[in-house]
Amino acid sequence: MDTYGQQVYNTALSFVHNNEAAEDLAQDTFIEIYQSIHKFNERSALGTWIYRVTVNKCLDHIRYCKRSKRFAFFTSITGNVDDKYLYDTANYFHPGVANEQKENARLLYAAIDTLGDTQRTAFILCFIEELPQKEVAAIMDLNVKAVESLLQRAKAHLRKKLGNLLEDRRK
Amino acid sequence: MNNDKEKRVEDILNSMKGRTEVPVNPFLYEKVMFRMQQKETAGERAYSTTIFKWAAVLALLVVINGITIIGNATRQHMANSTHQHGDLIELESPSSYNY
Repeated sequence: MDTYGQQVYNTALSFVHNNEAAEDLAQDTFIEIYQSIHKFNERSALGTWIYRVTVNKCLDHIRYCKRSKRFAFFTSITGNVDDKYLYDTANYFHPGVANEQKENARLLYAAIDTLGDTQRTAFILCFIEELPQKEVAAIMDLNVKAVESLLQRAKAHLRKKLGNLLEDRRK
Repeated sequence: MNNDKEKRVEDILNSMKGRTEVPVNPFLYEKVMFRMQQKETAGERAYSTTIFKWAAVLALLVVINGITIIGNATRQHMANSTHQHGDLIELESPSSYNY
């Protein structure tokens, strides 16, 4: 945990942009690792496997949040509300980003939220975590060409989305 | 104008480059261990509750089966008694056929 704790936490932070949720996800990841270590077959490096578990936990969490938001109206009627993670990701300021880039990073996160799971994963691991494409391919269990294709599509989508966001702000 | 917008978009796309890593909670290990201990305790409780539930279901099935068997046996006994009684009545009453 000393070796990978920081890595896991920062990766989770890149996905969920919420400090509390990222910490919970880091804990979930290590619990999963302890319980599933017998399944690690050493075909990949340990770090790659840990990244894979982290990414899967983060994506599950994001899907859970989206489902919660979708059914928030109904759960609010029954009183069965778990609003712990119904946070506003669009106004998140990453603590590791320089002050002059905070606003840009906020817009970037808002745009990343509109990506599908695979494009989001490829973009975050390559551009935010700055991992080599070969390692990203190993984490996502794809080949390098597939990762390149995902990145191209992700960037095209983000450019379009950011262009629209900037236009809306200008109005 | 478009160039400005494109440049701004590129700036935004590159805004996370060179970010510093955020330090993780120094008590992460302790928190994980605590949660795992809690999970083990909860797991034991869930295990005993599950066994109790299955035992209750099994007992119910045995009781229902027992009632069904007893019911069938009683009906069979009654049917046999009626049949024997019917045979006796036939023997005692004169035949309706005129030979």
